Amino acid sequence: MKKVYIASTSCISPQDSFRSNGFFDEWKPALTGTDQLHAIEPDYKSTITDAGKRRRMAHLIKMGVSTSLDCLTLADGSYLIPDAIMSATAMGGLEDTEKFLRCIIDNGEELLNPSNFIQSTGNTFGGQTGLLLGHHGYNVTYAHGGYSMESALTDAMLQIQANEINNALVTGADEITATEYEVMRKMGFWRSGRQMGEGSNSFLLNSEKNGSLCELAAVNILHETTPGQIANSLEDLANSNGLKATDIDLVLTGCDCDKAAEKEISARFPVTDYKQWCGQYGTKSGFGLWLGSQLLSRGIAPKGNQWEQTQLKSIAIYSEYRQNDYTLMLLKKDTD
Amino acid sequence: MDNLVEQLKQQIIDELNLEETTPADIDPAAPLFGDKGLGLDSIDALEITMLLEKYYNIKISDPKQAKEIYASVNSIAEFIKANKN
Repeated sequence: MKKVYIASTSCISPQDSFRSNGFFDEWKPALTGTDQLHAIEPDYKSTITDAGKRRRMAHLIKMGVSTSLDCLTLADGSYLIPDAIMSATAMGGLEDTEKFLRCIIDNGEELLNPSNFIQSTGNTFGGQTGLLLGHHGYNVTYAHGGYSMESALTDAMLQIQANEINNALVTGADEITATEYEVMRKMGFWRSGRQMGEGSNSFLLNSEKNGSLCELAAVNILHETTPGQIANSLEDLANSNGLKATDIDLVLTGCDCDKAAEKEISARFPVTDYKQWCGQYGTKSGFGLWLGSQLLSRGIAPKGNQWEQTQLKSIAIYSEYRQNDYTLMLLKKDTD
Repeated sequence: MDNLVEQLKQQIIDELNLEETTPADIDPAAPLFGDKGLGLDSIDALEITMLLEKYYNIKISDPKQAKEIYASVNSIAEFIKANKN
């Protein structure tokens, strides 16, 4: 089967991660004392240069379009036009949805702002990216809760493996809004120590190994699990990709509330929590994938509270949301 | 009339989210739509229609009129002056 490689990445997160090595300069402690981790956003005038297009874009769309374009930027400043665009978002354009609903209430269902309606749908940042690139090919958005990111990645991998396409841009993004935070607070969602996060993570997947960061060997989605299943599934994932469980050098974990599964994994594999840096959001596993691909390509790994120069060969990313959505991804430093 | 023009400029900036435009940047006689002037589009036309209803309680009853009314800030101001209750 054709291998799939990560050719480039781009990340906007609550960390100094966009077009910058800042995140890896020194160990960043978990952000504490707040239950909202807002993204550190770039100057959007430099990422979306057309002011006319930019003015209608809400926060989520600006993040999604910016990482998408950044991921496709070639050395001469032009953009690579991908064969396909796959986007992922758990909640879509919440800011515009809220504005539109507020407008419905305030104006008695009349005088509704068309921009907020147009921009509120989940597929807007994928669509806007396609429009800005002049891309007329496959452009699909996955709004599948806690496994939206993995669904989009699976689509891209299957199409590359089936020779339908050679490359694909995959972007996952979600945003924090004050209303969502408040609604979730009333539901008691943040009482358990969760931190709300946001960000956008883009990946150019390619069938070509040359110049790639690493291989994206597998993406698995599991729903209901039984005790012990997650760690066993991780072992199966290694075995089905020509590795032993002990070959997995590191598991980056994005656990939500399944403490038993978290314990199982940390008992059998070396782990580092990626969610401490990005918070909880539907497409958070995109941050884990960005981090894993960066560690493999930079030849560094977490040790204690610092980055250590060491060449890892394989990293798994485990993510869980509300004991319902469990996902596993496997990255390999392809040395063949 | 001058006050109305200045007020209208600010309302257009706010409602259309023209984030890098100031009232001083808008020539009240310049075209609002097309390649010249502000370069607004059809969605903006809808938003200006809503703006007129929201702030001035004026409805454009004949859509054919809109092209003429929305030609510039001055023409919108004249329309408001002529139709405001």
